[in-house]
Amino acid sequence: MSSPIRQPFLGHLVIVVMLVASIAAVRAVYVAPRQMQAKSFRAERERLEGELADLQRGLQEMDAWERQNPGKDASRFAARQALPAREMVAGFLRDLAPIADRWKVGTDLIQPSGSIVDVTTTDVTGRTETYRKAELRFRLFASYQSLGEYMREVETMNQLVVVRSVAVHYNAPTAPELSADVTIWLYGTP
Amino acid sequence: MNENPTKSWWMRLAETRIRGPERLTGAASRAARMFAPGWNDLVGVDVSESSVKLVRVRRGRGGPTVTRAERSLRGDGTAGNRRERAGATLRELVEQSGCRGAMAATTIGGADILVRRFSLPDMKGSDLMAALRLECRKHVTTPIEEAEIRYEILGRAQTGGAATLDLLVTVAPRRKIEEARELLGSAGLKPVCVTLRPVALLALLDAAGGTGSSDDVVAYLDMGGSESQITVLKGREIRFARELGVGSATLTDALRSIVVPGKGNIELTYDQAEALKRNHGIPVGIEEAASSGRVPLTAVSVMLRPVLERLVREMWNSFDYVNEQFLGDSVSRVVLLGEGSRLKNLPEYLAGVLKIPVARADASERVIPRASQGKDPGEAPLSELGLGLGLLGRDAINFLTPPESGPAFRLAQAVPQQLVAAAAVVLLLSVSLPAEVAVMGERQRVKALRASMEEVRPRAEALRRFRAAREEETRLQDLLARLSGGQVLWSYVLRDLSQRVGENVRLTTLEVLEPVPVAGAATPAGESGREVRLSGLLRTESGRPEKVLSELMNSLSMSPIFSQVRLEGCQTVTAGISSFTLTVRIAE
Repeated sequence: MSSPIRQPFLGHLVIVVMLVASIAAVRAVYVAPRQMQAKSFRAERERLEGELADLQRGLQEMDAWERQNPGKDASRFAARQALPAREMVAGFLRDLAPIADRWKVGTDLIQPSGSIVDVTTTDVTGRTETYRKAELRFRLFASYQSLGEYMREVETMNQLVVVRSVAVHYNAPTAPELSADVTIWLYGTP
Repeated sequence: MNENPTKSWWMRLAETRIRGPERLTGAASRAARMFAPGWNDLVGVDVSESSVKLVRVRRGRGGPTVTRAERSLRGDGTAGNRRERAGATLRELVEQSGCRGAMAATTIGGADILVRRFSLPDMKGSDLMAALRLECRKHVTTPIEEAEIRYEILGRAQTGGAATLDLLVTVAPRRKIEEARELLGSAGLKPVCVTLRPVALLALLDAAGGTGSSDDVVAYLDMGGSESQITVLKGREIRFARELGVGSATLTDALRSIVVPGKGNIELTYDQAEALKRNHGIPVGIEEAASSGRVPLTAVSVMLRPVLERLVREMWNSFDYVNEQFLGDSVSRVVLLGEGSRLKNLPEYLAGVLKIPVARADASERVIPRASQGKDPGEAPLSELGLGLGLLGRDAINFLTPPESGPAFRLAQAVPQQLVAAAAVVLLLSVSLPAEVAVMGERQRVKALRASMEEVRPRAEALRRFRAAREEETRLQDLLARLSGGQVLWSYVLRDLSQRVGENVRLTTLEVLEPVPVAGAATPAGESGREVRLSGLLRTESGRPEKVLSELMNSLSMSPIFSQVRLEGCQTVTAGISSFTLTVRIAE
């Protein structure tokens, strides 16, 4: 004959067992997928935060560049480029004219010096590149300040231009205009 | 002498009743009731040969409240055996009194029930049950494998230098326990306790405050319908319990056929005999001279005597047993309980024969005053057994609980399963909710970030182009620097120079001097070797030319563009003007 005794805590035990089983089931069926989802969202959030921070940093850089270059649009900023060697002198002179007009710089002499030579160098990535170099000498008339601004614009032209040297002479008859001998190197692609 | 001595302040403080907030007090009270040793709502079921009685005791803040229902089994005309009739009657009573589903307790009895005090050598709890099985095997008629043993440790003592364990042991056949449980269950009650009459009696006496002093050995004779129960207690210790085959109905049956000398037999119906017994009891003295109708009371006395003598004999036997078992602790008085004990002159008769005080006690009246029982004063008194069962504590001997119930069992009894289930649900939610909340939080954050990204996305393409151009510009500037050997920016040179030349200096010539290659001489690292020759005029009207020239050279030497300043010459041109020539090295 089976025992008639019922353990009154059997009900509690059943509840506890069901609770443990339910917790296991909930963890497997509900919590684990949610945790995976949360992990995926977390990864997505970190990626978006990184992207957003990078974008905001870039936009601040653009704003800073626009403050340093008043009147210029950062979104239209273009890097200088090397023109083909056969066009580089003509292109340079074409772009130089408005600069000279803007700063009222008179040109007395333009004279190429020597022949066009090939120069080879390596860039930061270690790639070897060859350019053609032309040297032009100018004799200019301008005030000291205009000459400085003229030089600044020439140096930031979107061609490969280097102002090699500047020699300034006081000329009493034309004072305050000075006479300046300027040597410019132009680089172009072969 | 001061009649009303002034109480000290600390006594007044100690006696001050501190009342907490009402809700807090109420909650504390409910919690206390929940964990109290007794059941808060228990139905005591008293099933005898002649009736089924049901007493429901609800313990509340204002004390216990009682509802009751009872029905006689005698002559109800229902077919079937007594057990089936009792079951059907109980079911009806449960329905009638609205007790369905309530927790219930009942008793089992009979010759095969053992209630005995044992003294065993002191031993570990784990060994006790095995030892009891061996011991009880000698005292019960049913196989011990088919019996349930419950025990209560009364105390430990030293006997003959050895430690002994005094136990109150109860043994009942499992079949009877199962029958009692089934009886309650089939009637729609929730069986929580099956115990013995002495245990219920003890609960009743505890509630009535009638257990007496611990040295007083008292015999309680509970007279039922067809049988009586004698229980001998010393204080709260049950020393002996036995069922006697004499009850109130036995006395009534003795009066159904009365032999009257000279008249022959007078036959009475059960109700007539019962009325005769109730009205006259045991006629003694001059009462015997009277008669009830055609029945002389002398004949009543004669008819009752054999039954009473049987009762007294049984009682004497019980007292002798107790006296023998507990040397020196003989029964000092008898207390009559139960409806059957209301028989007129019974206490006096028993006291005269037993030679010890005999008194009747209405224990149920002491626990629940009749006025609060909700019954008319003329109605039958409350079942004392039922009331005792309703007042049982959880620690009472209970054949429905395991013999060794520890704190976990008590805790399980005290904490309702609904509460456990609710806690489980809360726990389950506490497991699942954080995951959901985390997902929701992350989803919201991602959504907000995507919205922010959408806001800046129109400028993202421009930014990409800007960055690409900047990168290319940097690369080409570096390339130009490599091609030209690190050229100085002449616009910067001219600007710097204009700031360093003071108001007393005027430049007239600036020319670049290319270095002359010298065999074996190396140009220092970071310098191209190019120099600039500066010529000009100094205004010396306000000071000496040395001073003006010194200021100019100092200023030039602090320039980041020029590294070496060298004077080539200075000559007076006029009284206030001098010419100078300086050479500076360009830092390229």
